[in-house]
Amino acid sequence: MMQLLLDALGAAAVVAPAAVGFSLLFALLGFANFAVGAYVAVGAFATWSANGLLGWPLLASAALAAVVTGLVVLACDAAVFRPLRGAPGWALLISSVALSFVLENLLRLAFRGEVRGFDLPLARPLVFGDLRVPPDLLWSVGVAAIALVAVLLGLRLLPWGRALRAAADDMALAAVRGIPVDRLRAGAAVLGGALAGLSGTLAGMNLAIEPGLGWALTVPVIAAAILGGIGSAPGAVLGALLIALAEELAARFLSPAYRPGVGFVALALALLLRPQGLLGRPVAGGRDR
Amino acid sequence: MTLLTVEALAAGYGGREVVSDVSLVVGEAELVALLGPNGAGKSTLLGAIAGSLRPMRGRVLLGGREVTGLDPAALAAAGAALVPQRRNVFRSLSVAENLAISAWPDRRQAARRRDEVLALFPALAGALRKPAGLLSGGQRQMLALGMALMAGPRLLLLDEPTAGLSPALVEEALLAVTELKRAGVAALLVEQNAREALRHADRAIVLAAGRVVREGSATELLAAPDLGALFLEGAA
Repeated sequence: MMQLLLDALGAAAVVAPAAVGFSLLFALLGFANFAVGAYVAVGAFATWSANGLLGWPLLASAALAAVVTGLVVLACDAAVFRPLRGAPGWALLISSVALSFVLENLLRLAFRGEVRGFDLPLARPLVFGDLRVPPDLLWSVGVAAIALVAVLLGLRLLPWGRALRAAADDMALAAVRGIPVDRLRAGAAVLGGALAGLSGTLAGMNLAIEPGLGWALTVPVIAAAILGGIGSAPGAVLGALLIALAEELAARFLSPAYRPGVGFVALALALLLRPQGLLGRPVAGGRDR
Repeated sequence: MTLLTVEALAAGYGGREVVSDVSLVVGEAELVALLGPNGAGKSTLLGAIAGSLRPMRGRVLLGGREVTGLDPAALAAAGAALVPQRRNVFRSLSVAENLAISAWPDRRQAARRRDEVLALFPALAGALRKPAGLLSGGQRQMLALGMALMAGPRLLLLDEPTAGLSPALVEEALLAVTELKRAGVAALLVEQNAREALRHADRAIVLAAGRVVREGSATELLAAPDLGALFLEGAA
């Protein structure tokens, strides 16, 4: 059981940063950005470029990938989504799917579609009785935890973090109260992109790095954000933990073939039973008292 | 002394004029109620003054400076803050965070203004850590007013602060509005509860079918025998 929880924690570490990024992007830009998987792939390739090509240590490569992916997402927002601002949500959603294909094929063009892997030293797992703990799992969980705690604290304590939460809560009111919402949208694109980029680094440690890498993560990431409650960063982390746990349980007690279906089931259940998510506030408020 | 001057303002939607040739003034620290039956154009007029709706004709001056067509954020920077009718607080943020974030245009004054707001609305001081979504309706209106005050405005544009409140809370919300005078802030108040609004306002302007049909001191209008027929009974 401990092994199952540990494996779930490792899987959640990969999904959670991108889920927080997706949730922020959804709340600030107003639509479900299905390109999040492609952003994860950009992060994986950016990490590989620094680590595999330039020989940088993985931590420095991860930091560079976060910056690069943040800027790529900002550029995508300016080029694709800003001209469509005010269009219906479905138009933006379809555009984000199209953007996924464009980014995936740009990666294919740039990296010739070959499967890559990080330059990581081989290390024996740490063994505690029946529990086997691979060192890269500890690294993943540690890096994801530090990054997420920093983001959650920043959102709570820094003026810009509070402004992001305020705009995620009510964009129109934020504008009325004089908060610079256009700059916040740009900030959310960079932060959301950086978090997706970090997921790319962590995914690249477990999965083959190829341009379609992000598709396997798209559904769990979106499901985690919606299950947790759109606009709630702690909710997205909780959603990632629950989905990773459900995936491990499905793999253990049903069959590993069911693992990819868990995100879909979680998404359907969340939308049916609690559309505002676990930590989100009700979509339609009750009567004022 | 005149703070807000509206000259021959016309506004509407999709080319259809809802409000025509409305002129009005609001003085420094004066509470002016904008009344009228449903569909008279009160919220349209307020939207056109506040910049959430572009006027078709006419001018809006604030302290002698033309502010016609400025969006609400720019108008707030110029000294007139809009308090929207319903979605007027950040529900997932605490009361303290709502106040802090609303000082964004002039953050250096945040601590002083927060003290002033809490002195004006002591009920908020005991609820600083509470999420705004959990406040009672009356407290929420106080917070919405306090948030608008954090930017240091000279004029508040209030869109039906009693909308959706139970009768017991209407009085509480309007008392909060009258507290603004203590802070030296003027207010243009759109209100459906006409009798209640007249009890608290200095002056009132009555709109019907998009035009000003009556104007006068609140006590004078409350006593006028013909006003019930015009709008009070239908609107209250």
